[in-house]
Amino acid sequence: MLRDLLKNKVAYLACSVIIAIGLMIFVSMENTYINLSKSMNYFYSEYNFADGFATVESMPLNYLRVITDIPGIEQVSGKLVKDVRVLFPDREDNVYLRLVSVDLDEKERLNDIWRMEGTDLEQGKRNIWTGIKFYDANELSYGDSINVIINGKLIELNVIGKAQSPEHVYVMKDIADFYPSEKEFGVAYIPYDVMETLFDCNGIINEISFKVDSSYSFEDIKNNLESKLKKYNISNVVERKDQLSNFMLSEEIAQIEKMSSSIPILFLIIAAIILWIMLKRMVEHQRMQIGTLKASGYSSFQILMHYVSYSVVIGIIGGIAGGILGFVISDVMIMMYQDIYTLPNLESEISVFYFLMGILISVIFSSIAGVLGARGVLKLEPAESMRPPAPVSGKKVLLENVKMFWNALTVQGKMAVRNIFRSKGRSLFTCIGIAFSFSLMAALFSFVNMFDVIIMDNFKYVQKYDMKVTFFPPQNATPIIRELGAISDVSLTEPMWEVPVTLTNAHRKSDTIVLGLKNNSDLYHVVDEKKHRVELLKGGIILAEPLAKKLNAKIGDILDVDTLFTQKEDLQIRVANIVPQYIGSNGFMVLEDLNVLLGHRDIASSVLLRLPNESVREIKNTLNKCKIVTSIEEIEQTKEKYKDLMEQAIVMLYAMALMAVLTGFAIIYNSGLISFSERERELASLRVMGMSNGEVMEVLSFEQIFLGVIGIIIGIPLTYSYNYILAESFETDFYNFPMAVDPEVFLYALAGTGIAIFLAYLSIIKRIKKLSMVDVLKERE
Amino acid sequence: MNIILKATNLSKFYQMGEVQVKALNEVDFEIYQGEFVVVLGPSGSGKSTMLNMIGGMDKATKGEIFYKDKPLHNATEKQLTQYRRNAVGFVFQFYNLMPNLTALENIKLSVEIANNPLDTNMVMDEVGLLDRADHFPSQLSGGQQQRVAIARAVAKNPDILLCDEPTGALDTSTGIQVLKVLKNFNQKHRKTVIIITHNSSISKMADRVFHMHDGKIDKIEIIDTPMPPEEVEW
Repeated sequence: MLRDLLKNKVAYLACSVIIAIGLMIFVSMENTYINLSKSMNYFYSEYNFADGFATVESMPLNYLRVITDIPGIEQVSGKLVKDVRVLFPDREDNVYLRLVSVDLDEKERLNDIWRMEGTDLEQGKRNIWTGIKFYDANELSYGDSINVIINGKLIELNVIGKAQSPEHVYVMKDIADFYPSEKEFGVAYIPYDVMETLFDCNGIINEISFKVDSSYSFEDIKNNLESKLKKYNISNVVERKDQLSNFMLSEEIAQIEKMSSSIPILFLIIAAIILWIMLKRMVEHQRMQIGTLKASGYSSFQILMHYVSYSVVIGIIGGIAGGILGFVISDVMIMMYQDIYTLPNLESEISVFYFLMGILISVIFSSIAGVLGARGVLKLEPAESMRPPAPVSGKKVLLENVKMFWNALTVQGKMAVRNIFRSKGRSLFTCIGIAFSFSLMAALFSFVNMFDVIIMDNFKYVQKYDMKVTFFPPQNATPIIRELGAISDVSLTEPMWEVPVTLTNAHRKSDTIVLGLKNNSDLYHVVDEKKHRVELLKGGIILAEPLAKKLNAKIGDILDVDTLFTQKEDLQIRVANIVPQYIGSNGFMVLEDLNVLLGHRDIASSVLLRLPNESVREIKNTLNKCKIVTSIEEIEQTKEKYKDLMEQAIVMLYAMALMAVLTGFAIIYNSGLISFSERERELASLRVMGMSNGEVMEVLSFEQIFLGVIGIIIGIPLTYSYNYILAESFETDFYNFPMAVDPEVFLYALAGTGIAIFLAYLSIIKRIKKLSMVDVLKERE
Repeated sequence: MNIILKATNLSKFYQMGEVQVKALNEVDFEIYQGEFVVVLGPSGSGKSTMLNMIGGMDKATKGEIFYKDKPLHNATEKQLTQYRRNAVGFVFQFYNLMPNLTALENIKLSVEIANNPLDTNMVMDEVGLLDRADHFPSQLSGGQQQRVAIARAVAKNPDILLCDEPTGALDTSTGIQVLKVLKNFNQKHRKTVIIITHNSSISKMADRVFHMHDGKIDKIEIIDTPMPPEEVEW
């Protein structure tokens, strides 16, 4: 048996490798899933993670008593949360800290803080614990002081530790960030009394967290809470599942679990098919031996088990290798997740259960493949099996009726075509392998391409400003514009108002942000598919496509508008146009219209600026002194951030592509090898007849090219579905991907697939060169 | 008569573990154009090895072999391919037809690569299978398959027809039909036919018989009046 395995070592190895890849994914994903969710659950329960969160503009601390009385609320706590700019010496980038107040007297604190390093916070002292990622990324150490700007004043805070609450496992400024930038944004925990003094808001809070009694649902409480908090300008209420950090973490965990069950099955099925075909062939090849064994009294079952044991051995080898690799990968994955999420005691614990389960699954798959492949043994009668098998029957194939095609073929071509139809199963398998490799490559190329296009196009055609200055609360625009416009080097200023609203169309609701823009704005363009500018229409709203889809809204529909930024009720607006939008999903209105709608005049929340790059620093310094400025966005910095993000995504996409191409390669290689060894004798005969190696190769390559073309044709529609799946999995409320596939990517994928086929065939060319005419022709004597 | 093949000291040794097997041991022979030669010997006598040397499928350990004036013992792989393509036609014991090609296509396959082929229909007619041209090998009897194989070899119009136990898998009457076809080719086209066999009956129809034993030619027997194939019996 060992000899048989060694004879076809590459093919069996490829099989084991595919099994191992499958199980590696299974074990690593399952293990990561278990460790991540265990660690998350531990953190949430030990540190008393809240069930719901509400944000208000400002509310007296003692009003919390009223909230506690709402039926279904078990525990409640309030805090102050404010974003402040951090000034690191010698650094140009915009760094923000989200200061979160900590009530040092509170017992059984909600969203309690896990201190990883450092000493206790004390009342009255300007000491903070920063978030762990921020601390590490900025290479802070105990006792460092950092300067922040609070209400226009420079304040020094002392860092005395790194810590984190369950609310901040995944830290992002807002959903639009898509990915945390640890160096530029973090949280910091600060004593409440210090914070209320610094922000000059004694006895005030702006965030509420609460625990829900298990006999009540979140919905039960929500309305009650909203009405109680209306007077404090409540801006949102979310339950735990939608809380940003938890949402990102649990989505990730759910995705790992989903992948851990689907992807490995695909690999195992591929490996099983290869094993099946190989064993079938081996049984045909060794029929004489089988006959002899049967004649000497071995039962069919015993012989069957002998052959099945091959696949079991392959299964076990692949299973063990996959299991071990799985743990290694799981280690790497956990390390990677430690980089993204900060969870206490998140480590890669090895689960023997999944290791054994992986091997068991692999053995089951390979045994089934083995029995299917070797069942021919049962049918063989000893006397019959001692004779060589009946000659393979040649048949006309359907394609021969297409006379134009058929007559154009050389005899080698005809041979190849008939052979393709002779072993339909294997041909189909090869086609699928090629289609799989091709379409995945094309989809990934397309996706990377698309990523680049939507992000770069956004800066080229939509966000045409150099800097965006945001203030809170929204202000009268004219004086600010006048002031900013007066700064030398600023060549253009435009106001903009970003208003969080809830839009409703019939029964469909969606939370979004409406951008109020200057009519004919030069710094922010709304564009159509072809990047042509779209006019903002007076008296109407333009919706981004994904938003319109969510609302099921058409041009001319009337939407209900609900926002906390107005005292007016029963507001309505007509849908004037629908445009594509890939980053964000907003509504767009003329700024004056928006003001009128909400019953204001001349209000804006930010100003867009055009200015030369060299003036950025100076203007930032000026603006830092301004009390109401909450953030400054530099478009160049944003672009850099997107580029980084893209690079990370691309690495991941390429890793996926590599794995898929490897599998495709293994399929092409194996089926080519099987095709070769089944026809060794035929090919050797051709050599004896005087054909050169190249001419013999032609027969096989014709076959491969034919299958390749069919595979690629199947691959084209498949590309669109992969593209769809990729887009779906990357899509968030903030990112939408166009479904278009640039035909150019098919050329790249074609080249890639061609190379894979060629590489797989190199080894077969080698075998043809080594083909011993003497040995092959002697075989049957 | 012209010499078409000439071997001197032709030897092939194999290393089997620590033992050296002398499959062919310093053999000398000449074969002439248009001759009908039978190489006769029991299994292991070296006749297959000799066939491999003559057929340009294997290289000698030592000694020389020439086709016309061209040395085969030191020919390159490319030259050997050319030699097999144009000078030799092979007929195997188990026919080795391409199962995916019809009888006619099998013949065309070999004609396509040859320099100076014969008309395929004529050859099909000569082997008496014109009406079976569209049949696949699996639809033909053993004798018919062997005749297709001969037609395939002959159609290239080679100087030498090299047959390895051509009747080995056939019953007597079918075997005789095949021998008739071979003899016909030999006489009609004045081509050399070399048959390798352990069946001594066949040797009666030869011009000369090489008796092989233990890797050597024991004796070369000249037959003055070869028996017509119809009279051969086994």
